[in-house]
Amino acid sequence: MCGIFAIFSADGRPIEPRVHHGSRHSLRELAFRQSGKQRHRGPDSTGVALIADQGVAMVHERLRVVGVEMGDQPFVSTDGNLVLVANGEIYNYLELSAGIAKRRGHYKPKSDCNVIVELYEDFGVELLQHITGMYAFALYDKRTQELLLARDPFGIIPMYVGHDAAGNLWVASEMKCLVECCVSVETFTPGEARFGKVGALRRWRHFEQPWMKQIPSVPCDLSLLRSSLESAVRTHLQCDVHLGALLSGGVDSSLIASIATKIMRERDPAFRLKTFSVGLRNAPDFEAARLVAKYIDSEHKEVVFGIDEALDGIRDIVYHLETYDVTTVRCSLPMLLLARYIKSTGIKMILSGEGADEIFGGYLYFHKAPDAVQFHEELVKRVEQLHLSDCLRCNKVTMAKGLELRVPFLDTAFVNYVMSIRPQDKMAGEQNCLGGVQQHRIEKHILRAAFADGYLPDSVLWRQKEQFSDGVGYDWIDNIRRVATSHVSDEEFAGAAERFPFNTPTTKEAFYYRCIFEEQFPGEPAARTVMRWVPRLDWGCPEDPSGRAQAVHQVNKD
Amino acid sequence: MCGIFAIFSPDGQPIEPQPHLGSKHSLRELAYRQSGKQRHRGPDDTGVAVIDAKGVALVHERLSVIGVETGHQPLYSQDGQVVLIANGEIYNYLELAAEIANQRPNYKPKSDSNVIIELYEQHGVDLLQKITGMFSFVLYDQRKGQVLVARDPFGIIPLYMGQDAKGNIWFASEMKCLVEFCKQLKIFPPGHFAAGSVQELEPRRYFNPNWLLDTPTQPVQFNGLREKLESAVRSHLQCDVPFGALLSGGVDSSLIAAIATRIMRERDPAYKLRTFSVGMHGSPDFKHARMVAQHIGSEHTEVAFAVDDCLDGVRDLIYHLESYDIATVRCSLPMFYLARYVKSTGIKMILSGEGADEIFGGYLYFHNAPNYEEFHREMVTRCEQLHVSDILRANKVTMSKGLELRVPFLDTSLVNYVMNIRPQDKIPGPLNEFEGKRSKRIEKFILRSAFANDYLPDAVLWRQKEQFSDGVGYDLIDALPQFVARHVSDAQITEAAKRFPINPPKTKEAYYYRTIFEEQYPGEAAALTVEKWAPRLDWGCPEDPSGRAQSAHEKNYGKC
Repeated sequence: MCGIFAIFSADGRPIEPRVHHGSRHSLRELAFRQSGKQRHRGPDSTGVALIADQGVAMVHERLRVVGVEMGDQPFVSTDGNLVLVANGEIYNYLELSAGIAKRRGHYKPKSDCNVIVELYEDFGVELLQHITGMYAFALYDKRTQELLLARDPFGIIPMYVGHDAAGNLWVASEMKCLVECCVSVETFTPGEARFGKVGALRRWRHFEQPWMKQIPSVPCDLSLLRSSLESAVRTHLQCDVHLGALLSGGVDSSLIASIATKIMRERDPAFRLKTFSVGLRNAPDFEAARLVAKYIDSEHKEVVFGIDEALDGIRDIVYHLETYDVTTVRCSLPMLLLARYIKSTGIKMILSGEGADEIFGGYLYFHKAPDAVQFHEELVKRVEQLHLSDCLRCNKVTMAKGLELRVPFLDTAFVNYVMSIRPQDKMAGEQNCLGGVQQHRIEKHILRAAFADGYLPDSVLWRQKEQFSDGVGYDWIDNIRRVATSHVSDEEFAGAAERFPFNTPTTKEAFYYRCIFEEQFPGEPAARTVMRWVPRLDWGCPEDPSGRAQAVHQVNKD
Repeated sequence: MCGIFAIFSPDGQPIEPQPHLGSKHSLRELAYRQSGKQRHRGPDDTGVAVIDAKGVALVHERLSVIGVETGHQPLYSQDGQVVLIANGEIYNYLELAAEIANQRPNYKPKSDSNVIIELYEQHGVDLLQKITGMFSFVLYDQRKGQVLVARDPFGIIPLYMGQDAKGNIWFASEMKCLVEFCKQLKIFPPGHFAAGSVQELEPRRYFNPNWLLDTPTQPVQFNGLREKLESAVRSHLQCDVPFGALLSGGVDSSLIAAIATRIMRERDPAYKLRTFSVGMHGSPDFKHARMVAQHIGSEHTEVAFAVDDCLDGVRDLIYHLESYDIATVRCSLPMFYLARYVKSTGIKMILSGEGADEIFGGYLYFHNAPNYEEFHREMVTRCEQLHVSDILRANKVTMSKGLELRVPFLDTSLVNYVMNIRPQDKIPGPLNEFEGKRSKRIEKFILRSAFANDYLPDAVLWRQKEQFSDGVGYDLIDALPQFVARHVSDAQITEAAKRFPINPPKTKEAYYYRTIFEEQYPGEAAALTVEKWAPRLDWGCPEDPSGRAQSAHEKNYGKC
């Protein structure tokens, strides 16, 4: 994965040098410097394309994962008129490359993102209907001075846009590149596209699906579910460097690791996946992860952390995450330590289980959904918010250490399939009606049932969810809450609404994270890019988002 | 390699939380945050030790190279009373660990730095006479409330020392951790140590060989020289992670790569070293590096760059180097580019040829040395300045990308051996009197002759030196004045001495580097840590440090 950055002048005229931190910066220098703030995303190389006479600078920070030798960006079309900076992976690029080669008679695939330039030549903005994967990109056409910005359906890859005082358009993977220079900043929403000249960008949604508006009625087909997930994992394994997988001890990440192992063993029967789990000493997750590692015979590593060690990272994690959401901060700290460890072993790409809870309804509070319609609507909402919570967390935390995380559960085709399954088959608890038989079933029952045949040990396959931050050890939440709270006096907290009128923090812990955020990302536009976890109080959820607090935990499995 | 960071309260009392950039920081938070500015030196792991009651914080940023699983720092003595953070490599640690095990049968070597604690327990400050390698470390003995700080003989590993407004003493591998807080700031000198309570920490010299003062009289012995360099390379190969070697195309780095290959093949005859060279398209160095790669059968990569790619890095580079010296900045640009590439391949350690020019007198201007004594004196000066020039560059540039660079030519016992050879044998040009026969000989003649036996192709072995900044491609050097002219006006240059009274810049290039430095490291103390290349104008050197300008270049110096 990588980081992308671009500046487009408001009127297509050159952007004059400006004084920045006391010295004069040409457009190139400004772009290189600001993009440098996300260089952790692309530790391996930086590429700059400058079209000075049109006031355009595009920068790419690269982590080499696919097409190691050929994939340096920006990509420029053969005639030099199109320039692209892209972040992410286009999982169907080999297929697409074959199509391009067929149409043109000759085309040599360079790297996955290169197909975007070629497809734009052939299809214009319709190219978005052809590519699948996780991505965010900016493409510029010198001939027409038009640009195309787009982001993947679920926002696995981050992207922000902003405007400076002169009206120039700024684009970056992380907000930290923009805040100093832009008067307005916003999240570029998932599944969105913008096209045109800078002042007249047309916006539309390139990803629209029936399941977003209608309650699906198709019953679940377990074997189709299995083959769909297997093919999602298969596409996510395209990688020219060392890879591994996270094992949280829950069913989601364990399944991905198990499927990946089976696929890799098709070619090399002796293949052993490298797997990693993180926790405090004696964390509940370790035991379950160990069972899985043994079962799939992976080369497993447990990364044990101390509480102080994780707490050291609070400030850095808020900076990297670009959020002050309490849940996100809490569960990101152990993951930051883990990401650093994994990167130090030479691994550049890691598979993980994010997304399953959103599309299958795995969160414990889903037990409290009043009916199938509201259950499905809540799933849709969670999928739409992924880019502000789990996707944001797992992308930015791993990229903070130059590690690419891939999430096969969020494969577009797979999500479309699962979200088209009728909610009655997915519901957790008493209302589940799989196969027309109503009975109490555990959350994510259909996922577990589809992989009941030799993928995981039963005790993991049917293990109830722990929120990530609980699974690493119950002490963790108590400690981070205590330490964060200790930084805030009663007096300071009393002034919370005055100091932070937008999204006012309601606990001292939240107040502390907000202060750190404010120090690094001052101003209301930055604060508005963050979504706080809003619990379904109407479903009986507690204010505190930690999973353990919920009554359903430890209820009997079906 | 790694980064180390420490804060000590002057009186052994706790350091109270203090506001910093709008929020309250405990001692631990402050230490972790400031040490974070050198976290690039230790991308793999951070370790913190805080002794709140005594006002002591020690932080270690780790790049794991030796003892990957057991080398986490800070390290503690058996009773937990002595705490150590160390950066570097102790090359004789296996020997030392064996000695320790002799006295303490249950001792298990953990990592190279671990021997420092054990030796401290047995020998106190005298441990500095036992260890060899590149290092800087800070050790705190809670029992006595005393500190021991030391830096290796030539300053391969950087170390800075500062004092904040409240009198707390700070140490860090890089100045960037200190500059916000410490009004007083200085380089901790190489070959020095400081010991005692916090208030009495004054650097004192522990490395004091005869050659610093006396002109040596020993004639060279090729066998001895060859063995010394070979054993230096051997000790520098201790490494538990993937490594490689730089090939600049010159004789120094090529020899290191050739010797390393021979040593590695003792165990694995099919071994191929991974080698790297950098340059602009068409750089003359590529050709020579390729010859070497072919000769030693290495797995070779050429990293080519465009002028603009390098210029993009100027600001970041000055931040990392903590220097505004023109020669240092110029030479570092391609290396900065190369280090990022090498790191991206998964390599964590790299061998290089720095130091040979200083100890053998390889710089072209040495041809102009008027006599043996002055030739030797100049070499001593160059050795003493290594830590503000080539070594500063080599260490900080590679560490900016979390890559460890090792320099076998600066192995302590090799340097002592070479610097004890009489200058008559080393001096380049017509004054050379090797074996009592005066004849015009090429610079580093004795080094080349000692390795004449098929280590390298002749065209490289006897190739004349190019300064790194020239060897990389003249286009870059030529592009710099134009690039900086856009940033600096004629009016600014005439006011240079007023704006920068310390080391006033004389050219636009120097002025530009200085403004970038000033932005990142404001204040006199920081400016004073930088040593400008002072050319021997009296030996006919030009103001501009680029090697090509010198008249000795391209003259013929045969093999004699």
